[in-house]
Amino acid sequence: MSLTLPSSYESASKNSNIKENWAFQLFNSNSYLSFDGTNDYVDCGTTTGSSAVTISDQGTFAFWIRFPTLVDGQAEAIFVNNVIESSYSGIWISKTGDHKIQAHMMDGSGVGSGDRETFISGTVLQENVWYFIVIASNFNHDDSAVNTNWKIYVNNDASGNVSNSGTASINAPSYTTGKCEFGRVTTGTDDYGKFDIKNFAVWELFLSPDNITAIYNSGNYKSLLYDFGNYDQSTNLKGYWEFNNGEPFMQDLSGNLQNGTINGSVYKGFLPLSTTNTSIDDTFYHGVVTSAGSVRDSIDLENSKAKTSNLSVSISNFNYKGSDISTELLFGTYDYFNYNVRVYSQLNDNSTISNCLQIYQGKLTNISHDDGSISLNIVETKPWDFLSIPIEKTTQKNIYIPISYGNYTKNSATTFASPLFESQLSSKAYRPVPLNKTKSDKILYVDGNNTSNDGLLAVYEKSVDTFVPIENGIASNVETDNAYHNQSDLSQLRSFKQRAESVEVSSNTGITIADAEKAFDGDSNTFANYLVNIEQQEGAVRITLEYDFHSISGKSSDDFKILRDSDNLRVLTAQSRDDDDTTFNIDDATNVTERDVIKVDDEKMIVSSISSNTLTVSRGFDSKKESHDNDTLIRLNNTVTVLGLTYQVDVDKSGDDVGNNTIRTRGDILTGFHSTDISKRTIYTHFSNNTTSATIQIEFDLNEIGSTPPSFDAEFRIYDIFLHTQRVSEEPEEMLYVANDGLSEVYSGSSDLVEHGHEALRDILVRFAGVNTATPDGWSDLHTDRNINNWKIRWWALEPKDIQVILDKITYEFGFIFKFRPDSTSRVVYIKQSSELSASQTLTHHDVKNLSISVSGFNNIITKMIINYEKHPAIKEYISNVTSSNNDVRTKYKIKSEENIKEVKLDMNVGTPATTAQTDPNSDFYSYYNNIIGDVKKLISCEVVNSAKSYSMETGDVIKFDDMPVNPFGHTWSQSGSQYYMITSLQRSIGSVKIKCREVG
Amino acid sequence: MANLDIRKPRFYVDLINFLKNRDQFSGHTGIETSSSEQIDVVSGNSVDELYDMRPLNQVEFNTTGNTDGHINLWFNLKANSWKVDFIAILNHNMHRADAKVKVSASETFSEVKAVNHTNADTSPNLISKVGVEAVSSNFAQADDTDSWSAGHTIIELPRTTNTYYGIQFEGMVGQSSLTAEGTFDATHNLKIGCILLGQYYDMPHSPDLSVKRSIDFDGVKVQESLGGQRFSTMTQHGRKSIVDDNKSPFHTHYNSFGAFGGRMSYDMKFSYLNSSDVMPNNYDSHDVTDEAVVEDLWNKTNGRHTPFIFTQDGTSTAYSDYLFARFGQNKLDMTQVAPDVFNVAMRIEEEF
Repeated sequence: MSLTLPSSYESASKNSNIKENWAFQLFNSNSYLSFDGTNDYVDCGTTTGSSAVTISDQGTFAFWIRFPTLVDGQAEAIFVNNVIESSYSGIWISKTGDHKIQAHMMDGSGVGSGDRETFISGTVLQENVWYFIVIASNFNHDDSAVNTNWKIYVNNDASGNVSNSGTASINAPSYTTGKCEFGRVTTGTDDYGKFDIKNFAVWELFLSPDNITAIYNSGNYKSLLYDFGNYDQSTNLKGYWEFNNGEPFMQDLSGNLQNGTINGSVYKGFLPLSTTNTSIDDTFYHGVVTSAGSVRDSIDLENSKAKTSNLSVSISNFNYKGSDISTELLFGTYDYFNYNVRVYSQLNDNSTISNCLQIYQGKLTNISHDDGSISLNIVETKPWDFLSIPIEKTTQKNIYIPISYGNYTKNSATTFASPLFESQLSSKAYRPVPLNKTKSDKILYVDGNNTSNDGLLAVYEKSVDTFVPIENGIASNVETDNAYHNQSDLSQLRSFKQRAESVEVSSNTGITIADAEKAFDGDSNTFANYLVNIEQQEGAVRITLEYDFHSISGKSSDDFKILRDSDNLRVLTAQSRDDDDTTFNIDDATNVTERDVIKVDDEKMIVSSISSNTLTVSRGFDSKKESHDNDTLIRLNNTVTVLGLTYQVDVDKSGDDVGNNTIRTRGDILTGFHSTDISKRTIYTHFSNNTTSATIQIEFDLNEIGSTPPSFDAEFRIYDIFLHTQRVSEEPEEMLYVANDGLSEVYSGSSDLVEHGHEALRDILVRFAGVNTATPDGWSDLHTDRNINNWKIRWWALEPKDIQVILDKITYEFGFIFKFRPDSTSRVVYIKQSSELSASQTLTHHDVKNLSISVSGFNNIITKMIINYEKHPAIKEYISNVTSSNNDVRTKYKIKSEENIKEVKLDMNVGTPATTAQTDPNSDFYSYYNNIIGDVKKLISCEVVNSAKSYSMETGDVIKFDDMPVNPFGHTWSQSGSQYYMITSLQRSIGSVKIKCREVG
Repeated sequence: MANLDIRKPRFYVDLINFLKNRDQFSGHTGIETSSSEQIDVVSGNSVDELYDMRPLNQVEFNTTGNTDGHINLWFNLKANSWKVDFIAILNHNMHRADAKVKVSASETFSEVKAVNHTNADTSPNLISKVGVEAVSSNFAQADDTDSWSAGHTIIELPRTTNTYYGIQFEGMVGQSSLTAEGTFDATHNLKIGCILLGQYYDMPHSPDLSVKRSIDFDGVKVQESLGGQRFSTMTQHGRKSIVDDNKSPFHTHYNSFGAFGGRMSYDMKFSYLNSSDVMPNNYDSHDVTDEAVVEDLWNKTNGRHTPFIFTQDGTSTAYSDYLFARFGQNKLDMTQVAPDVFNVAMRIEEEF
């Protein structure tokens, strides 16, 4: 969709002979927003009782305001923070019909005097005079102390007595779901206010006189966004708007997202300049611009970026209000630096700004001058310039509160009692959360997002690349220290099973090996097979297998802690035992598990089985045996390593008599002698905690029966060999991981989880950059094409990152461009499937001059990509990668196998790129960029001299060419599959629009 | 003169801008508002912009807020040697605002600042030149031919050499005579684009016959497409009416439809000027008693620096014959064609 021109502007542009003037509005600290009292208002969105601006306990409002005309009996609505149509709600601020400032505190029911408490300043205001108003109150309605409870300052003077009316008898306003607005009250019949305003601030505190005197600033406007002098409450602003910067919407600078949409109100008080003397909206524009420069807007499809050039303007150093204008622009009465500059194209002297086309908005960043002329450098700015995220910190240790987007998946619980293999802990869709502090018996990790179900923390086991949930995890998180926190217990106990990493045969005397690796292939149904088929031979054959395991994180030395029951009471022995007893009665065995290691006195025991509160134990594990008294303290070891072997024995495969033959294992785990078939089973043996290898010798022993040499046709299957470990942390882990989903969107009101890249971009813009919630042009189509798994995002930030860098990465990884239009509305641009393209304009040789045709060049094509995606949460690697290739093009251009390959790292995109490009380029990352850079594309540049077509053009528009004096290379202009072009660069100056286009389908 | 026929030209040269440009001590102009009877500009306006030589940039006075008040502009020439014989008020709406002007001069500063210029030394009998309906003593009423009547007025006065001058605007409603008190219009504020005060200079004789007059639409850019279509963009068309009471100098129609566009210019050559009409008697210091092209014209305008009012016929009283203009050349060539006789050429270009 190209630019929508004002109707009269569009009408004028249709004429091939037009008069064009560029008008410049230089905003400054003396600019303001003007409400006409007829239908102008600023809509700052919905508020509820929990909104920042709906203050309840106490409050202060401060604003610079002017009433250009005063009509007796005419009240002027200024501000409401929670207005509804049916009844009085929230706080209203207005000017009375006898020209005094008043504040209403509403009770939320009815529309009578009994539904409000009203507080009226005694000071009568004058027409067309700027006033600094401060209303400060503890919200107490007590009529006898009204001048104590309510202070209304007019230019730092609160001596005008405040009077009270209304009988609601409330000491706090009532709030519901309402609207926050300037210039309008919509309860009953809509009432509008006529006034000019520079700023408006809200605090939920009774601002001190020192602060109020400071912000009055001796009658000179000063931003309240930062502390100065005795003003020290800027960080407590609940709402703050500045109306003097020419912004397209009113950003709530307090960061509380109560951004406002301007309806009809117009900016005034700017310095009006132009290329010729003119008047727009009754404002005289000084025709002093000697060079208006040109505005260049470009998009980079290959990198999915948009850019607008700086604008250099030259003006005469003319006499302005008695002095050279150079004295006004810097170090003069008002501030212009870093304020907005708006540039409009005015056709045929049209006298209304709404009939002019805004062609640029930037900020004045540099000025130079000599005696006769001034150069103004205006730079395109974005709301997120110089902003980084995250910026919120915990209050105690100043840890940045993470920001995260995407859908995360946690692994199933794994405990020492019910451990899972690492292959069952397959999800890596986690995100890191940093350690904050220990509170009570919990260790807190800063999550940033609330959850009641997904706050379970996990430890990253680097050696096996697995996220192991903490055994005593807590699903819900807790809000404390300015952030939501996940919680772990103090020990950070975790347990899981890891299969062997590798096996080596150190000796073999005649055993056949099949599928040795299947003992640790992640599948408990497959097996390694060790076979013998020996005829009439006596003696044993053996194979020695050495299995290696990964080292596991956490404390590896013993970690005996007092055994406690479910009520957290200490558990004692319930009987005395001699050193050879193998059963042990204890008070409560609830928290004891088979294969636990316990310690009574100085003796360690392995728990073999549990029956009620009776433990069967293996005595003297790794320590001496000794007798024990009744009521002896029991300790439980939190660090355990158990070797597990799942095996099966078939001793008579061919059905022969097995005779005296036996099969057994020797070494680190013992099966015992088997002379009969053994079904699949698992046996365990405890290891010391530092063990990372196990040696097993499988022995097939042929023993003769009488004088006949024995034969043996048998096999030993190993389904799994694994280490089952339980560990704790020596110290609280600096970083744990959680699968709590990321942020939900704030831009449409749906509160849906942000799952896709384009959604994340828009949420960042609204949530962190203060961009308003208006839907960007082209959003619907983009969302339709990209609301699929292949464009999903998982991304987090633990430390501040420049928002521009983040946005650039999003747009690249998710294949679209976000740009601001000249009027500061926004647009998303991407390339649609060829069959979906249509042209907004068709240019012929009657419309253009200086036509040039070129191609993107062989050096700019990429025909093969190695794409790393799904960024790993814990290490600087990627979970997945794929090699994608356009072999047709590689063949066509005779590209060698190792040439023209680009490695791509996607830190956010977790979708799966295709290995070969799909017909619809919006299917996935590779298909999208292959459509752009996978082959040579035609480039067209020209100057569009027909204003009827050029003035509505913008970058991102798809256009066609026809009826040209020359065809593009061997194509025609209507070549199927390559007839559409996207405008990638547009340079506009007075009477001229130069464009560059790229073939897109 | 009909058809802008060329006779002996006259230049109305502004002394205020000359002094502002040359005198580092400034303080040559101001508005007196110390009395409740005196009117100031509307908030956001600056009285200094009355002398910015940009007539379309009007200054608005709050006459509707004090209809029986007075606007007292003062001028301090810092010496009583400067010759003053005209006041030009460009792009004003005196008729719509029911305003008239009073001019006085004095050697006592406070007298020209005071309401009604009480006790001022000089109350010159004003002479109607352009855009004047009536004059009486030192009062003048602007042309009221058209109801909208944003006007341009040149008033001449007997040449005076006072240090201080006062221009007072006051209302006309209810006045018993032009010299009596009246009130301003209650609806429309008085707006004035530009005020010039100084000495006019008449060329000794008419220019040579070969005068070239041009009208140049110099803001037009024509582009041609590959297909031969031509597209034109115009950045300005010259004289204009921004609104019906804000017009380019000496344009009188209420809108731009009625304006003659383009930039008018004259290339003129004056032959056989006596050296005394070209150069001052002495070039080491100015001589206010002298009358010469360089003394009164080229030096006072700082060459092409400062605009002036030009008429190709100094006897004319018609708007049509006047241009707000500046010199189009950086240097003034004086070619001696006989002993003590010179030819001088000059180019005059219109300002809007």
